[in-house]
Amino acid sequence: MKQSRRFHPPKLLFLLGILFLLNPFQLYGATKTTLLMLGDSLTAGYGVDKEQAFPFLLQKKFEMEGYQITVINGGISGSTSASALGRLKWYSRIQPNLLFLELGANDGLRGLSVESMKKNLGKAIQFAQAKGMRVILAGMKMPLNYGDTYTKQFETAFHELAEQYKIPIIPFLLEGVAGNPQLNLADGIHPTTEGHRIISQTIFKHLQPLVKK
Amino acid sequence: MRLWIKLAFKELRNNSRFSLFFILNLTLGLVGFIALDSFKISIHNHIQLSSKAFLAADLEVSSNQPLTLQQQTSLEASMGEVLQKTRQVSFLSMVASPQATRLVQIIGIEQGYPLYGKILLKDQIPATQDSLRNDLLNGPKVWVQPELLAALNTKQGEQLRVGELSPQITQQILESPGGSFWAAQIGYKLFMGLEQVEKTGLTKVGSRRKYIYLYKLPVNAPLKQIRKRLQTQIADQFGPNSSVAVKTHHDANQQTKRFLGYLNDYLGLVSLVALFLAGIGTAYLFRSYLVKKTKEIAILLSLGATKRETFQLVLLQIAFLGTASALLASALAILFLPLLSQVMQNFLPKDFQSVLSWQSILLALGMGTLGSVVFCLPVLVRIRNVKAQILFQENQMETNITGGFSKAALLSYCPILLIAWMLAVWQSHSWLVGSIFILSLLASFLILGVIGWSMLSIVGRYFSSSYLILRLSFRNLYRNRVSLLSSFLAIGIGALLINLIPQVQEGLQQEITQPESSSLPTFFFFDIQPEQVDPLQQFLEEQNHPLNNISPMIRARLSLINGGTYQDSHVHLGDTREQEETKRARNRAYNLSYRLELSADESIVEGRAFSGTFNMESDALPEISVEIRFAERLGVQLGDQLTFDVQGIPIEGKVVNLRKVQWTGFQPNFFILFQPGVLEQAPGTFLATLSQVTAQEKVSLQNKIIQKFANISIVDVSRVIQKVLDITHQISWALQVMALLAVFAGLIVVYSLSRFNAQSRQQEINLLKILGADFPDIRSMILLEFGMIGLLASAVGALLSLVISRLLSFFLFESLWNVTWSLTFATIFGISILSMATAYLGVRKTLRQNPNSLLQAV
Repeated sequence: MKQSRRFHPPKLLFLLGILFLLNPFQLYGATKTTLLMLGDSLTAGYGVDKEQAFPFLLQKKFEMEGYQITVINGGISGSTSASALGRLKWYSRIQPNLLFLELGANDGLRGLSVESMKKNLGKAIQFAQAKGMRVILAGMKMPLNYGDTYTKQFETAFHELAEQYKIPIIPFLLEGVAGNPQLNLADGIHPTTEGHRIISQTIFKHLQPLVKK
Repeated sequence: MRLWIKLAFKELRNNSRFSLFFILNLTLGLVGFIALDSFKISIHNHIQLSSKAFLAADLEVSSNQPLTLQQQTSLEASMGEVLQKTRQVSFLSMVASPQATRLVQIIGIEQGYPLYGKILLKDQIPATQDSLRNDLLNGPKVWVQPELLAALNTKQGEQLRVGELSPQITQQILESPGGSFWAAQIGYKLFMGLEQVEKTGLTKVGSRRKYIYLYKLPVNAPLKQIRKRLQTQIADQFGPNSSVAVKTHHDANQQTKRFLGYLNDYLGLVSLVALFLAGIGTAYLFRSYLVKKTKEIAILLSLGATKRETFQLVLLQIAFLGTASALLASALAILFLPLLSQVMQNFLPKDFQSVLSWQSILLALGMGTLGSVVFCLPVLVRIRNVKAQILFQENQMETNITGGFSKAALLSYCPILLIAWMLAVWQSHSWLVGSIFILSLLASFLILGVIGWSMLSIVGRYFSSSYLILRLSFRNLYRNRVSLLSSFLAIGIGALLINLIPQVQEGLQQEITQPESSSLPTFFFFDIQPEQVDPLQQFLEEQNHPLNNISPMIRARLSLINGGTYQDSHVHLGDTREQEETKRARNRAYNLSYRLELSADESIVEGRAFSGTFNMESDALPEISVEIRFAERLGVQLGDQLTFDVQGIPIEGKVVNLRKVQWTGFQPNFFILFQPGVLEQAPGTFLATLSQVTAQEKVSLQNKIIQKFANISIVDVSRVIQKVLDITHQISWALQVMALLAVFAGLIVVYSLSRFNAQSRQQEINLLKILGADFPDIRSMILLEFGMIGLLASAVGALLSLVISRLLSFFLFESLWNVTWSLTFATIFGISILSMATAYLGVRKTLRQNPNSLLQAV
């Protein structure tokens, strides 16, 4: 019974919050970065082991390069841009100082309104900036079968957001991976282990300037 | 030799009334068998067709990339004979009318589609291959679901923008094959010609589409084997990670797949029961015949005939009677079964084709001819030492030939067992089921034998009632216990077999029974954000469509079981398939939910209900409920502690109950439920359903919701559910009908046994008559005797069937089993009454006869 007390979840949540609040090193120490990766199945590493998904690979890569960083995998398979703000609020209690925003792909796959996706992501970016987080946006493209009009509109939305909020953008997260059967699982959209490795390199390239050593 | 044949027939002719009686009884049993077995095959065929209509084919090969002709040919080489093939491409796309843009599922087809089932057009007119050729496949045209017209605010005859093409809408599609639950209806369907699809530019490299190759194979093609072969070939040819996949029509829908599997095994059991009912009936009749002949055999032997000749004579007679019955039964079946299905037409589903199975007729013929010899072998072996002196004993001959188990006697049972075992495996298409069945029957025989023997012995010895009739019938039971034992066995096994099928059916029926159709959802909503729940609910309330089953859904990974016993979650090369599966199951992310009360589709199998909302102050762990089959897959038991990684934060809980979910309710249900008060703060989304939306309201409601809540995904599940329901209804019907028929066929066998029994008591009744016994007394005595045998035997048989059906459901039906006492009692009661009624009629006839017949020589 004593042991179970340690795992008492709501208390644990609370304690975790306190822990972060009381830890001056984490809060004020400029050397340590807490990177929150808020995303969908791509971030969650659908179909591969947790240790093979790009958030984990990035953590390793940064550590190898001598950075002090904590990467939090906030990926939820199937999630859409509408959940961005709510989830960001949940994570804000652990005070991330860098946000990697990778949402919208499911909006596109389900043919949801691009306008409303833009609004949702915009709100999340605003909230993050107000909390003092630096934000990097992951750009996304739709497969060609969705038709010219929609795919163009969709792709442009990310660049418009980056411009509007003056934030860096990875033009296309799946650069060099999308459409290649060797780098994707049988479903054709989720990357394999190797695909995740390439993505982690793409992100690293764009992220490195934002992380202090 | 000729002399013996002559003699054999002469004797049959002299005893023509008895011979006829014997043939009629045996024929009755065999006709029952053929009818039951044939009907089973008809039902199997019928449901197979429904299932094929689900996929529109026997077999489907699909791939994200188009397969080259060479690749196709090489795969087709592994399919054996291909009767027909048609190609298809399917993908989602944004399609526009001048008024609106919508996500649509585009299906490109070519001539020949669908290979099974049909496309139903406006006004319920089925699309023909001609209408495909002249309309849809002839130029840039599309056929769409009517809902899409409304969603795009357009009409039939107008043009749509599909990629780079502007095809015209020329038809509306009400129904079409296909339908997996989740791929269901995120977009409504739009059909167009395969060639036209290529012109839209939507299927170029870089698009996400599925190429599908549909195949029609011969009726008897071994689909499972072919699928396995293809899977190996695909892994070799395309690599283990390829998108190329094979599906048989059984795999088309998860729910129907499971039920079709059940039905298949169930029908296998029905075959077994039919076979053994007929077998028991036949064996009993043959053996009784032989016992009756013992005296004649003794006479022949004492007159100097050799044993071989005597046995030949008897066997010849038996074989002749058996063959005659089997032929007669086949002829009757061929003549009357089509007639019967004509009469029953109103009770049969549409397009039901009842076939007369030649396999069943052949089995019946085999049983009548070969069976006669096989069944009689044990008796013949025992009477090989029959002595002439039994001629001078009255009533004792049965004891002489039944008592004693020599090695030869035991050996003589081997052919029966071996043949029965082989037939059981053959009929059930399974070594396991066939063997279990035979073993449990064998055990039942022994148990019935022991119980029957002791009861008959006790009854006669210790019950000395002051009522003459009672005493007489108890004494009778004791005196005739040898011959009564075999009828006790036959009736007991009969009752067992009769009760077995309905007993198995009951559990299955409960599993697949559908809830009231009013509660079936029309729409599934998902991705509702927490802050949208109230506004959405309010909005739909205003539209008079209250939202149902609002369920939170929180994504989490299972990280620990019991605080750390589960660490090794990686799949290793040396893992067995089961290990791998468990590990994969543990490694996946799951959707957790929380609610206090169980839904109407759920029931607790083990453990207790949630104690209430989680109390933060208590020391206890939060309570978890796990779906029982899922728990088995995970290897989780009651009381286990599970730790979930809820988006970076570990949350532990304790399993307090295992839950059974009736997935056919089509309600949102979850493998893992937490008690309320734990996960409310965690980020998640909500699921909900909407029921009873009429076809007219559907689209306008959908449009309104999309306008107000742009992010919510709405899936129209009504069609898929309807299709699944259609098949499950048919399966459910098949279960019931077969159970009913099995009971009916069983009662026929019991009837023919009892009639034969009553007949063989003629002499004794006559004797009593001559000795001056009252007719009512004789009647009561016989009724009491038959009633007691019927009651005891059927009670033991029915109880044994409970045990066996439980055993079978464990192996075959994932332990879906419910004891239904009403059924058991009905069987016991029915059989007792039937055996008494039959006896009564037999006795009445005998009593009317002139006692002089007794004095005539046998």
